[in-house]
Amino acid sequence: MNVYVEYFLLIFLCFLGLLQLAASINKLSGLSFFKRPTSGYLFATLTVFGAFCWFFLSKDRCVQGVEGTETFVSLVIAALLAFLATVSISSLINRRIGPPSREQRSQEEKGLDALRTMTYFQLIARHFRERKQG
Amino acid sequence: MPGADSTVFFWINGLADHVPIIDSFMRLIASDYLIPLSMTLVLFVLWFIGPDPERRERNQKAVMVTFTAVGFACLIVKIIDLFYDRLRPFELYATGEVKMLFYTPTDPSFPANMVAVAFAFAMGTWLLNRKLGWILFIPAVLVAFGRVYVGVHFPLDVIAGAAIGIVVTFAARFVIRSLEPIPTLTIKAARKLYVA
Repeated sequence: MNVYVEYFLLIFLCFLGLLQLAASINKLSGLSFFKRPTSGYLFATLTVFGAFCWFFLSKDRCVQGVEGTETFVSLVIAALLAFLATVSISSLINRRIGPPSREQRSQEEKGLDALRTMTYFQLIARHFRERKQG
Repeated sequence: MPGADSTVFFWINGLADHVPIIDSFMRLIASDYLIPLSMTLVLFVLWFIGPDPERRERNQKAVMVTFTAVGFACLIVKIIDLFYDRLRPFELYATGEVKMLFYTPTDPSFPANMVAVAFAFAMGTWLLNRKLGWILFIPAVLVAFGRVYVGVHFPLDVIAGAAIGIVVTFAARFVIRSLEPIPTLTIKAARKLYVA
């Protein structure tokens, strides 16, 4: 595996783990892979620590490798892919969590907080439904 | 000043090649990946966490300031590199005089780009959260020391890098504040996409 692919994989795994950490801290059930926040913390720790250990201990990293621009591009693409993977997996796992009731919806939060009661795909579907209805 | 710079360089670089575990640690710290990536990950988490939307928005603006500062730091280092090409220690002194624990970079020695970036990350975080900011200054200082230890920079290069990193963060904060309401609208747009 060349250094670009390895670096990309490192960032992807770290972002994947940290998104679960954020989901656990903010209690975003719709974004979490797990029911209990403790499992989210554990997953984040193992993924980030494991990815760092694999990357830095498997080879000597003090060699001329990925340049600044490539680092930035890898970072952005890996972050996007990790986010897509997270919302896809969590939407699939949590597909049975129901949309909030009418009373809950009236006080429903916007932005990331909406992921406390619904999955990302449910939110996107609702967004398009509402736009269609005007 | 160049004399003192060389003296301090040889004192720090002279510590290398004695204790293998410290050498390995310094090589890891000074590498192109560990500290910049770790600091990016801290900011990534900061973007997503916060007990309420207001606090989260504050975090997100701090993340914007920090990334702008990192961009400015890289830009300023590149501009200085165009006008001033200071040789690296291993280029200036005969083989064997400098203990090289690193690969041989080809860009100018002054100022230290990696150190400017690390200090911009730490300073940007410090402006938002003093405690976390102080914590991030530890790896930033370690990078600065590590780059001299492994033989790729003079002390003056890393001091200049640190100064650039700190100053550009204030400039970035000023720019982000001047650009209002664009940063707030950007965060609102991100909220519509459920990513903020």
